[in-house]
Amino acid sequence: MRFLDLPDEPEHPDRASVDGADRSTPRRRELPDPDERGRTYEAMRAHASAETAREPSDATGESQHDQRADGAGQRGYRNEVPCFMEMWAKHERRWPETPRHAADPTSPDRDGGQRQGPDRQAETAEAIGRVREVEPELSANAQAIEQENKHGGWLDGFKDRLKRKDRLEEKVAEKLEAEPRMTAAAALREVADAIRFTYCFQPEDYTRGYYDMKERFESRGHEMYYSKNWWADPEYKGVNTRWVTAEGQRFEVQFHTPDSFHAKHHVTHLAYERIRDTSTSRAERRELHEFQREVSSWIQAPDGAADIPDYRKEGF
Amino acid sequence: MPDKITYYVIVGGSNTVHNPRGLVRRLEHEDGPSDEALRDDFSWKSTPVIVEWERGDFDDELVEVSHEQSSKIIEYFRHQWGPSGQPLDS
Repeated sequence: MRFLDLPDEPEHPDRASVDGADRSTPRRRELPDPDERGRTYEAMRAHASAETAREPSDATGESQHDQRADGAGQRGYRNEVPCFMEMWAKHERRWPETPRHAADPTSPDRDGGQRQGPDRQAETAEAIGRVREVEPELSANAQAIEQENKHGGWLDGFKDRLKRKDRLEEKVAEKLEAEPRMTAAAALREVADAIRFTYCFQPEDYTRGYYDMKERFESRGHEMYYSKNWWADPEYKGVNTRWVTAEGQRFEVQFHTPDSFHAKHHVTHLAYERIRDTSTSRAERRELHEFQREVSSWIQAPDGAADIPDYRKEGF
Repeated sequence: MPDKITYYVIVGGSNTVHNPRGLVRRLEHEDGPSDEALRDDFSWKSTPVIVEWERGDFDDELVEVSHEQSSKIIEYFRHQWGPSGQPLDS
C-alpha cells in the first residue's frame, strides 16, 4: 500500500542527500492543540464508515486511536501515520475513485474545444522544451546549495523536481479557462512549479535554514518574488517560495520538516488532488478537508517558523 | 440556490483589479462550496483555481471584489472580448 511508505531513517542526519531520497528522524515533540485535534478527529469519525463507528472503546470512553502513543508515552505525528492510512483507506472505500475530468487535459470539455489544436500543442511543447533545457543547471545549483548549507538541510523528492508534461498541460488548460485572453506560451512562462526543489530541515534548524537557503539562492543571481508561510494553516504546513532566474525561468522552492513533507507527499497528496478535482462532490470534499486538518494538526511547527514573512513582488 | 456568492478577480503581472485577467466566484451551498470561472463566452464553468490559490498552488493572485464590482468587471470583459468572446474591435 503506497501510503504506508514512511521515509527511511537517515543514517547520517547531518549529511545532505544528493539523490533526494526520503529521510527523516522523528524527534520528541510537543503535541498540537489537543482540542483542535480532538474536534477534527471526531468530525472525521462522524463521516467515516459504520466500520469506524464500531471501533472498540475502553471503559474511559477513549478509542484505540486516542490511546495510541510512542514508547515514551508521547503521541506524535509518526505514531499517528498508521491511523491516517486507515482513515484514507476508509475514505477510498466510501468514495471510490471515478473517472475524473481533471485527469484528462485533452478532454474537449476542458475548454470547449476553443484552444486545443496544433498551435497550442506546439506552444506547449516548445515551452516545456525550454524548461527541460534550463533545468540541469538549476538542479546543479540546488544540489550545490544543499551541500553548502550549514543547517543540515537536504533535498527531498528531488527525482520529482520536474512537473510531469500531462500535469503541466492540465495546469495550463485550467489557467486558460479562467484567464481567457492568456496565451498558452504566456501561461507556461508563469508556471512557477514546473521545476520544484524541496528542502527539509529538522524543526530545530528550520527557520535558520530557510534564511540561509534564501541567501544562497540570491547569491547565485536568483530572485525570490513570492514567499508564503503555511505554518498557521490548518490543512497544509511549510513555506513555499517562488523564484526567477536572471534569464526569466521561474521555479519553486519549498521548505519542510520531515513530518510536513511526509504529510504532504505520502499522506494528503491524493486528498488534495481530489479536492482540486472539480468533479468531486461537495460532501466528499468536506471530508477531504477534515482529513487534511486531522493530519496537519499533528505536525509540530518549528520554533520561529511563524515569523517567516509572506512576500509577493509587484509585477509577478 | 447558493446561500452566498463571493467574487474574486485574477490579477498578476501587469494586470490589476482595474484590468484583471479573469473572474471567478465561490458559491456557498448548504453542503459546501463550489467554484466557477467566467469563460470568454460569458458562461460560468467549474474551476479548481480558488482551491489551488488557497493552497498556494495557483500562480496568480485572487482579490475579492463586491458583487457591484463584479458586474462592472463583466462589462469590462464584454468590452474587451466582445459579447460572444470576440474583441469588439476585431
